Amino acid sequence: MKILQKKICLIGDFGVGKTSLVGRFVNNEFSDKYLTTVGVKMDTKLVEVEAELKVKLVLWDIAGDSSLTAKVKSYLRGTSGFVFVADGTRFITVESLFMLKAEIDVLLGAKPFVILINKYDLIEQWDVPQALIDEKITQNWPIFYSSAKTGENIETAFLTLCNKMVE
Amino acid sequence: MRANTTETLEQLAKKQDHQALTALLLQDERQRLELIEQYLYAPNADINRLIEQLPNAIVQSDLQSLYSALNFDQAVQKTLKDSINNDAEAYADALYPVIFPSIKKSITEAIKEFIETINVTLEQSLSLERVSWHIEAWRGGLEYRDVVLKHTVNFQVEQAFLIHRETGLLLRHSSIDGIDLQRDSDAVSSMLTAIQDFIQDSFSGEDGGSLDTVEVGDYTVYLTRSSYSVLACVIQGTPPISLRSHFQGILQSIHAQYGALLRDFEGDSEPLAVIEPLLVECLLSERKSKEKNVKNQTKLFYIGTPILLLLLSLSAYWMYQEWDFKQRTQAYISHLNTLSGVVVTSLDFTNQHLVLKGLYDPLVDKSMMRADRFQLKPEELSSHWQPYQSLDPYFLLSRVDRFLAPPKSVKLQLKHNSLFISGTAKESWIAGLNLKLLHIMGINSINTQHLTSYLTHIKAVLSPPESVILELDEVFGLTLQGEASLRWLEGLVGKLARLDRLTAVNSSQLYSFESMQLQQLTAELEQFEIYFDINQADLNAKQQARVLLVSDKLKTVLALSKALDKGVTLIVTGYTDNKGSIGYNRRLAKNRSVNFIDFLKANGVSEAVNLVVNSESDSQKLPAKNDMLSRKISLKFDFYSVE
Repeated sequence: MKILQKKICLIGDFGVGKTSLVGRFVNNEFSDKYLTTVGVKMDTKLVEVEAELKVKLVLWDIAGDSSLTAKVKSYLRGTSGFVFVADGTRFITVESLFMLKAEIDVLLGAKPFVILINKYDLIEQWDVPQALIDEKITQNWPIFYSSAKTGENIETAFLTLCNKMVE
Repeated sequence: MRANTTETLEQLAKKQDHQALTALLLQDERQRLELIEQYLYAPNADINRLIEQLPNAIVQSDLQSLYSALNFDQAVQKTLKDSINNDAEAYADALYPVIFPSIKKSITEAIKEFIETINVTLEQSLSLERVSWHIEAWRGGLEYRDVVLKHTVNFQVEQAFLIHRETGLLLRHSSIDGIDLQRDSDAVSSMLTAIQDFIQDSFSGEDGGSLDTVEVGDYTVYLTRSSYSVLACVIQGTPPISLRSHFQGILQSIHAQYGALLRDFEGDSEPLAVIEPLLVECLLSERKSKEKNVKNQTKLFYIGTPILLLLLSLSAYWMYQEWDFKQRTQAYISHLNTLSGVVVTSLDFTNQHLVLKGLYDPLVDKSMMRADRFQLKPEELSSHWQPYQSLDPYFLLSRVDRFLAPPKSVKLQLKHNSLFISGTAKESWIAGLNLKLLHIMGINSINTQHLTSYLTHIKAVLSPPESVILELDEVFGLTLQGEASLRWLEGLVGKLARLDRLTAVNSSQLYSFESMQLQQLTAELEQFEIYFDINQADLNAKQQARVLLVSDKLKTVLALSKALDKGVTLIVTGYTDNKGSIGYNRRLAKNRSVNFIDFLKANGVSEAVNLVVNSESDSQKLPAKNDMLSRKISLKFDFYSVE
């Protein structure tokens, strides 16, 4: 059995549900107070990718913002993959997500990523044009509609990211 | 000769052919040889070749053997030495940017270490250990500071994290036995990296400073860095400055031996297991000083025991004194708290001395507040008492009693701050009562319904007639003046006996109606005189008529005297003028009084009165011109008690 460690950063605007999403997913969780003090908190999760391969994800849950500060940039160093999160009921967060992704691509080059459009349990308030999503999917962007409330698609999204990282 | 020449020519031809053949056969080789010679002997040929070959040689051989082969060390040392001797300043300038940060860092660490040591020393300054260190320094002729430093360096490296510098991922982790990791070490590793980034980003700015030490309670985390990794060591206790160098040394070893593994790390930490033995070397501890302490303490035992015992005895004695003092003061304070009219307001215990402040009602029995009843010595206690008026019913009533000074006949009672005054008292006391009570705090109302003046009480008891005036002086002396019936007067003594608070009774000016009448009649009768003619002793008709009037009054006198339990003697004295002989005149005077008495007897004045015949006939006593006034009789009463 081989275990690989991978550093993953969760990126997204304020209030999109990154921390709740991680809370559903992880084994080991630090207190949320680190988010307000240091601006990042750590969680870990062991994911079985193949029969003889596991990936230990070290998740850097970075405090939400619509742009990258110098501090956040320093946190991104050495990241193997990104989880971009937006709130499906607020289109502005999806726009932020695309901007953040573009900024990171410039900063670090192309890295494995997944995109979670979160709060899918509030579908009646959905504010994301499906055409836009379809366009991105055609560009091979791995986009998932997720819900931290129901846990929908979270495991799948992370497993997808793991697979992309170990390719 | 010719033959020789021909032979020589043939030989020459053969030689030329041979040379031509050789030149033909070896042309290529010659050209190569020329090239080689050209290569070998050209100007700077050696240097050019060395420039070409050296990189390959360095790549292909390990540096150490190359250095040895070239005797590089000596050459470098000599060159450096010569250069520095020639121009030391140039080297100092060149090295300054490199060594200055390190020197600065070392000095900072040394100062920090020194401060930590001082702190620890201060913390232990009053301990037995500290005393033993003093003795050790004195016995060994050492600086005390050195002894303290020796003992205070005491630590344990509990965990070592080797962290990938780029990703923050944990490369390897090592810890001493029994350490319970509260967190996933992978997450801890990342968090440490984030915190470093955070600190660097927040405070360090552009000068490249980094987080080297984290201190949490008794724990210190030393962070040391190499190109690819960060070594974070968690230390309990006070780490010495040398420990950081130790960690740096280990990190350098890791880097030298496994640098490539670290550089190429992509998440698989398994190949890095080989680093673990080096990591374990980080887990140092310094417990020797403890053992040394034990040895030293054993030595100190013999020296220190008597001192320790003495200190313990003194300490025990002092503690007993303190305890005993506390017991006695507590008992005293408890006692004071039980006393009504005493309030303890503050207590201050300082060095076996009690400063006590409080309030007391002046009516409290002071002897009850004495501290010597609880074996408290004067030097152990300072009391500061302030007087106050307690509203406790007992003290309120006592204060009222003291202030009003009521006579014994007055009873005071207090019911719910209402004062009930009953009994009898002098009028003057009663008159001042309301004014006085105004000054007594705590009294809301006064009830004098059952309070009467004493004089009123006396009057009620004696029921005197209006003609009698009663006066009561300050000392309850009663004066009775005036007239009263004999019947009332007879009952007076019995009534006075009921007035037990009277100190004296003055009734000298108190008379009965009867005695007054008797006195008047007696005075009137003693003015009565009957005048006789010359040498006459018989009463004529006119004189008899006057005597009858007298006899009626005499009867009244006798009746009054009888009522007053008095016997009456009426002395009837006869007088004569100074004419005639004394003997004759005496007889004449006697006859005049006898005749008068006889006439009284004849008119009913007899038994109840002693009638005494008297004669005053001394002619020498009377002046001649009053002859007629001398010839008379006069009356004189004498009363006596009849038992």
